[in-house]
Amino acid sequence: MRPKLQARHVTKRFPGGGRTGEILALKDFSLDVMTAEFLVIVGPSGCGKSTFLNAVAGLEPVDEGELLMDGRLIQRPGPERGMCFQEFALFPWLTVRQNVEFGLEAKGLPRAERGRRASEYLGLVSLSGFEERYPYELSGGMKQRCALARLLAVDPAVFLMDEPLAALDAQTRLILQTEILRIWGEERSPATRKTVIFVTHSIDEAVFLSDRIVVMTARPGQVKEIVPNPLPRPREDRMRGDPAFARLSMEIWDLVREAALKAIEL
Amino acid sequence: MRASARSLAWRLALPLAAVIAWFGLSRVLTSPTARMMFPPPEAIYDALVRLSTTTGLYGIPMLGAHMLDSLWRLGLGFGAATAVGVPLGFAIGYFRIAERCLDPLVQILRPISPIAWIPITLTWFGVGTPTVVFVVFYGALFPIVLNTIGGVKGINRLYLRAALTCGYGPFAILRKVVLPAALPAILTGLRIGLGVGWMSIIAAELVGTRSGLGYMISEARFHLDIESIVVGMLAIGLLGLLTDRGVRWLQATLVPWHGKL
Repeated sequence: MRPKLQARHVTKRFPGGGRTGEILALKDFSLDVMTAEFLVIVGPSGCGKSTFLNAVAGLEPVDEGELLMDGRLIQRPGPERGMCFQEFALFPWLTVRQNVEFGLEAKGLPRAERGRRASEYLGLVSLSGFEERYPYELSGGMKQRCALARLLAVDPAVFLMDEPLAALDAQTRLILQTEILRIWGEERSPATRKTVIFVTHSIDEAVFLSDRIVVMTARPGQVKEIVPNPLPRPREDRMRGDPAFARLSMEIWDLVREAALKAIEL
Repeated sequence: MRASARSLAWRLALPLAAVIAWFGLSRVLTSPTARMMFPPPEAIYDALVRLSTTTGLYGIPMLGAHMLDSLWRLGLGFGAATAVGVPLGFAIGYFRIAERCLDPLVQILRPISPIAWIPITLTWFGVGTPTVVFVVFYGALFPIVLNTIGGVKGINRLYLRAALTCGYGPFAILRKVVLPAALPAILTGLRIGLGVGWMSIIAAELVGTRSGLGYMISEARFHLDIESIVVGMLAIGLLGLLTDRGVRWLQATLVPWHGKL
């Protein structure tokens, strides 16, 4: 199968302010993401994982190397690459329904079709009945469900998820992990699934969600190791107690630990 | 019901205390000079009744006519300041080229008090409404421009990124994201601009017109009619309060989500 996304020797620098000098966020970063794959990237804070996601989204130009989607160069943002943010990024002046329809308007869909799709996806994320609420009236978990519905409604081929659950409490997090897999289509055939790049610093989350886990080094960000996840799908909550789950978590932590220690020694 | 009564009591406590203190002072200080400094409330009330019963312009009571004249001049100047200030602020805040061209001009003109413009505007428009409207426009303009710039520049980058990944272009983002995101700051600018407008209009009317509350105060001054001066000042306060309420209503209607996350 050919990769959906390819990063070839990507280097990204940020001009430093004043005394700090230039920051090398990604260095010679190469990675293939397969179609319908759920790829999770873990790494210490500041390792460049979000930078990589922004570059794939087309929000940040890269300095060297290239990013390809279906073999074509990524140069700007586009609706075929949808993004989900840690801070939800819902528009506070729009209702839940209007937020979901926001992405559909860009596609130029007629009003009736927008309404139909918004209802459908709000139902899918269990937000029916909250259509006319404003984001400030929702809990954190509901906000992220709404952001998910906005992403789904646009129907992008690739989901870029930048720590989407990091701002939520631990229990909501576990519940939404299962929800994300359900929405992604874990129980359907792989052919109907979207390609996902999911960035997190939670190892449990990476193990529960992923097909493969990319462990990154501390800055400058490089691929340290790619670990395939053998846990069977569909994933169920009780698997969190399996020895295989614990073993894989430990394996990932062994890979991350050194970089994480380096990252906090400032 | 009881809670709202208590809230009203808190709101009225300080104004009431001020009136009582004024009353007390006018009772203690009874020399002719002191009487001019603190005219007794009953004398002020008499002046109010006189101004409200004597017919003035438009065949309505004098006080009402002056208030009306001030109010519509304020409306014209403030409306023009909004019509110019909001687009100007957007341009400076959103387009770098506009910022380079316009920002220096704004920063040079901004420190010049609207009052300082009165003499030269009198030579342009003469005594009358246009002079006053211009001064109000000038005073209200800068708070509106600066707050709009702040609102546009201070927009959460996340909103822009979310809109970009949905596939929107720069002009659609300006309309659908930047405008609503900047609206709370714009409305704050309108509120401040309105206040500056009120301060400017009275100064302009003191010298630039033959009507309006500023003119009324200045006339009363020549006749040593201190009571009418106080009535004029209170009328300004009242109109200022009411117009500010108007903008606050606009805030509550247009940006009900503001300040809540």
